[in-house]
Amino acid sequence: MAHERKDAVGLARAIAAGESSAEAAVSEALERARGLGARLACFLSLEPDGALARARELDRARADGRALGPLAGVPIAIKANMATEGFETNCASRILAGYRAPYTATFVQRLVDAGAVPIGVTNMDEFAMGSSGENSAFGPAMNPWDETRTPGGSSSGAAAAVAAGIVPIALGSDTGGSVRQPAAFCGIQGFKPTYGRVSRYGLIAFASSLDQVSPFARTVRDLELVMELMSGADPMDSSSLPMGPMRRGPDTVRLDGLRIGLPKEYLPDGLDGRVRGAVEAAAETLRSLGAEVVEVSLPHTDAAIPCYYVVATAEASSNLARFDGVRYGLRVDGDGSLAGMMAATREAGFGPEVKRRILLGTYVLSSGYYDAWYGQAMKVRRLLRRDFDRAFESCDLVLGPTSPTPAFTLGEKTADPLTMYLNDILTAPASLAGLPAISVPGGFALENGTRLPLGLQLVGPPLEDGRVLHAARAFESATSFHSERPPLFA
Amino acid sequence: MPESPVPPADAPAPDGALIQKTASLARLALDPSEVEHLVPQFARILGSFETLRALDTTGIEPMTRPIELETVQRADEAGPCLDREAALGLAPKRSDEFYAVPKTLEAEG
Repeated sequence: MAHERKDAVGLARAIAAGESSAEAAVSEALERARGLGARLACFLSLEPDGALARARELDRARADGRALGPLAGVPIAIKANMATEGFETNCASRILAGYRAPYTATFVQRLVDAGAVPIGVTNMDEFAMGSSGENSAFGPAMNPWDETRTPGGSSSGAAAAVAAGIVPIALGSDTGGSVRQPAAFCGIQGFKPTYGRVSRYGLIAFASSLDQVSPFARTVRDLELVMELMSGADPMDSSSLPMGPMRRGPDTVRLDGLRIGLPKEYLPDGLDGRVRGAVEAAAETLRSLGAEVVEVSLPHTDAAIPCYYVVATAEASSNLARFDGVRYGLRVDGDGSLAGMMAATREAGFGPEVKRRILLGTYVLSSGYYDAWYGQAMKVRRLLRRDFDRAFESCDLVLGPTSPTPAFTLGEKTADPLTMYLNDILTAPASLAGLPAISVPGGFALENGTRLPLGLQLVGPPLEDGRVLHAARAFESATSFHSERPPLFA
Repeated sequence: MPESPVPPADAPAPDGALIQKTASLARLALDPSEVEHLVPQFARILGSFETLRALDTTGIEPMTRPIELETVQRADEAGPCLDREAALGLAPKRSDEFYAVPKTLEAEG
């Protein structure tokens, strides 16, 4: 049967009802990963033996009449910066090539406990630093809608794998938009929870005050299920919020009384007309579901990119200090001294973008520059958060585009790092403010005869993850963008 | 904490020496061609970030994390932890039950 057409909820139900088996579902996912996945460079490694063994175990459990978890037999993919015991968790970096995690991240374990079967590790920008997947040390992933284009980044392979129907669910991490932007470029759903809602234990840190584990799926109900399973306090992460799992919103797909704010700063004069059109059409759809649309203002939006790149690089320079050739990964001897070994290891192991960000972060934290850059960025971060707090006095959710453009071509923005950074303008603000945000499929743009997906973003107040997902589910029920598949999917 | 000074508008433009000094702090042995490449990139990136420094943040408290959290403490009880062999097995070089690194002190005399 064609498992790839089912979402995770549908697949788990079919397996539970005996219409299919975990082994068949996992085998088919592995087969597609080896075929289409290899063509799109979605995966850095596959773990067929463990995955098939786990699937057979689940099938036996079902045959024995034992209770199955809500994701029993559903194949999932794990980003290469997430510890899964025995899996090569190399962050798409040469410095960690061959590193097999000795433990499993809490969020992976929670999904596995619910019956999910991780089949492999997805491609990404090295250490999640990038917006196109092109900073992977092992070559970029490709967009299933147009193989000459990026699937977005940094969770490039994860988004491509879900869009190509290889797995119904893939885990990504979102620091400044690394799940929402690829979801938009690939025509799928991608949800970044409120900061602290999902434990980061086992997520290799890039920028600790921004990183959030964030799932991709083709349907909103899959995201809701994954969030219910993954979220909630974890004693292994002191920054995880001391509360239970996320509760999903009401079953109804009406949005009566919900106020949707359209920030004028997200729709500037020069915005791509197709993107603007998709936002306006979405506002109309939400109105037809009972919502009210109001204009709001987020006046510090222009400062989000410099603020984000100062905060994120500062935190990265500190977090990546651990990769020094001593405890794991690559070692290069250098001049034979300890400091020389560390510097030579890091020089050989990190790619150009990672080095650039470590340098920027070291610079903004260094004596004489700290107040001017990092200190100032932390204050501007509060201004950005206040913008949202004020906007949420007159609306319940903020609507805008996820990205200013559809997927760009591979190579188009690699020469100039700043051009690449500017791509995050619409996703970085919610990251800095720690807010829940989703990218939903919201339309298509025709580019040289190819249809490219457009994503729309809904941002909610802190801890209103369920509200964001509920509105996304209502929008999904009233539109068909999410059910369109790239030509390669067939 | 005293108010951060507004950064001087005449801060020196990034040059090779600044990149080298920063690389040394960051333990990166950059080669000269990388330094040459990074100087204009730094200038362009930091130049575009001037909008950040132009904002008036008088009286604004720095925001260090997105959600204000009390320090969460757990009971001071030993729990399971990573097995020594599993950890050491990942090291590029080990000596018995230790990580091995180049000598940091020269032998006397």
